[in-house]
Amino acid sequence: MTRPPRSLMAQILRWHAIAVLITAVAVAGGVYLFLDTTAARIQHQTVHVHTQALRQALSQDARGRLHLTQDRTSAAVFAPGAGFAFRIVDPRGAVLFRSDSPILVPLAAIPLSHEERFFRRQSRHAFYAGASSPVRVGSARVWIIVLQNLTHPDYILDDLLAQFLLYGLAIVTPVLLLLLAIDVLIIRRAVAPVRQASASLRTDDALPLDLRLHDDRLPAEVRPLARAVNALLERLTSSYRMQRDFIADAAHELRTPIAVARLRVEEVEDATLRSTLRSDLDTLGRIVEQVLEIAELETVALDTAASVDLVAIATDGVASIAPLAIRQGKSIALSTGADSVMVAGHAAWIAKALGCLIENAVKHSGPGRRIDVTIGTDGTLAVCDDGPGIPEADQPSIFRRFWKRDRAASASSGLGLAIVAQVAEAHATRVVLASRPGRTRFAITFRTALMRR
Amino acid sequence: MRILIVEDHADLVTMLIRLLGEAGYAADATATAADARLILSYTRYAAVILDLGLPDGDGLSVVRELRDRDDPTPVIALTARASVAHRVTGLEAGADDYLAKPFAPEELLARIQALLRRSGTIVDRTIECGNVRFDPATREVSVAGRPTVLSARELEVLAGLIRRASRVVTKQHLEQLLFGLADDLGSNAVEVYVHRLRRRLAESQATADIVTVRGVGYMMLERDA
Repeated sequence: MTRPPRSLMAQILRWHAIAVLITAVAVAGGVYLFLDTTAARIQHQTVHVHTQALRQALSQDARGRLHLTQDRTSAAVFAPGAGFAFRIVDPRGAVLFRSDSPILVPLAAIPLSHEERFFRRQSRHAFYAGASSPVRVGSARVWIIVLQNLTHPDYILDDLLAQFLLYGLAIVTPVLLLLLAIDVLIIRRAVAPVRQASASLRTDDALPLDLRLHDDRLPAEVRPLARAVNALLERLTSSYRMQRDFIADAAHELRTPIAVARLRVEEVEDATLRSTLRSDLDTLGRIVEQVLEIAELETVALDTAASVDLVAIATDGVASIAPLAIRQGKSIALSTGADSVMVAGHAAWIAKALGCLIENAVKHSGPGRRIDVTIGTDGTLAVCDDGPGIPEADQPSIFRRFWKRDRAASASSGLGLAIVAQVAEAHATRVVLASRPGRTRFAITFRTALMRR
Repeated sequence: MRILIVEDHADLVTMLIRLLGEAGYAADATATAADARLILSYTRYAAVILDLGLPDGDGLSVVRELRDRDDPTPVIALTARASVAHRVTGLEAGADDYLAKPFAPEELLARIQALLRRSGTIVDRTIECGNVRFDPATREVSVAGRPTVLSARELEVLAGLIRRASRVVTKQHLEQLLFGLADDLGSNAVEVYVHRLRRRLAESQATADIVTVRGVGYMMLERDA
């Protein structure tokens, strides 16, 4: 199973959208990571500075007791509600000094090691940064623990970060979307010549022979393809033309010698032979004529726009073949729904098609049979006969060229109905066949033309 | 009566001259359009049989030249091309009739005769169909040699049909013939007079029938022996 082809545009856009999404996430993530690292460093420095200040404020007296003499700045920093808190603990974990502000973490959770440890936690329940540093004051060994409450209003770095990301996202998203939209335009522009070329090939019916892709505006990637297609079309056309010309020439070159032979036959003494030869040559001439007609129908675009009277065409058609039919003991009649039925079409070719249909009916019905030609006011031309009918199995084949039910029957060219079908096709319609023993009806419905007047 | 044949195929020319000779026409032949133009400029012919595919150009130019100097000489165009489009241009150029090769000899003779009759070159003495004989000059009708008296309208219908014996004459054509006599005829006038004519012919044991082609017209046919 083949999937329907996806458009170039859709593919480019899809991959582009994915790329934009990945870029957006990567940039956002990268910026966040960078800002977060920076924030952590700043927090570390802040906490470190305060730890150093506390270390300066610690002293040991002669009896080995520790004293904390905070200067004003340091006191202000650790004042209740100022956002910073400290504890100074001895190795057993006993608190020696403490700030008035509460510490957010149970002391036991704070790591104490032989070097400065920085820690931070950012969660919904707790939001802090801090450090524990081992210091030696005289003989005493203590840990200074400093914590910064990051939810404190004075701490704005985090808000900045959040705001930055929010605003950033608000700006970056439209920009990315705009970029995507611009992309659509660019791709559209770039693909336009390809689109046009494709559209120029999209026709409802058979491709016209002079069809070419205009490659001057096509992108370099597609141009070789277009050229190749054009070269192929060129070759097709020329071989088609050659074949057509050959058929026309051959038919043409055959006609004069047949005409000569047809005249010469009259000199044959033997009456039976003369009449046989006459009918043979007439058949031969008819085949040549129809081959030429088929070749013409295939190659010349018929002008089917003229307003023509089906009744007039049918009257002439029936009148011209009636003598033959009547001489063969058959009857032929024309019935029309109106005095004139105007349709859009090519009078000469409609007449030709009607002639073929009537001839066919005359040929395939025995003596005593009747042939009815009817013209409906809806532009339908129908030829009915009450002959033996066409077997259902044969019905699809009868419009094929050179098809004959009875291959041995030499009087038929097998082209008549093919011509009828082709005339119908040239008029954007088709031949409708309904046949059963005792009634066969060929009908073509032409587009009615508006009555002038 | 001389007929000019413009045709480059020598065999065909020979056959045509023979055919025309047997039918009582004298014929001259030329193979090129240039010669044809020259000959036609100083000689009058009863009719021209003109091949359209001549070696030195389009035969249609010969017709055009004739018509340009208002020469009404009837021209039958012969062509091996015979395409539908070609037929139209041939007639538009001024050819009076058009015959595609190959053609039946009697068809060519019939066409020549029709053209000569149309141009007034020949006037038929009598026209026959079966044992019915009609004299266009005196408008006398006889069946099996016995003179038959017909009414004016019956005669008009008979004349219309017998002139085109073995071919269908449309009802409209007969109507026109009858309306030329009087314009107070009913819509079924043609049917009425054809019916009367048929009866008259039957009464006098004519061997010609008037066949109805329903929806189209009538045809006079010689009854098979």
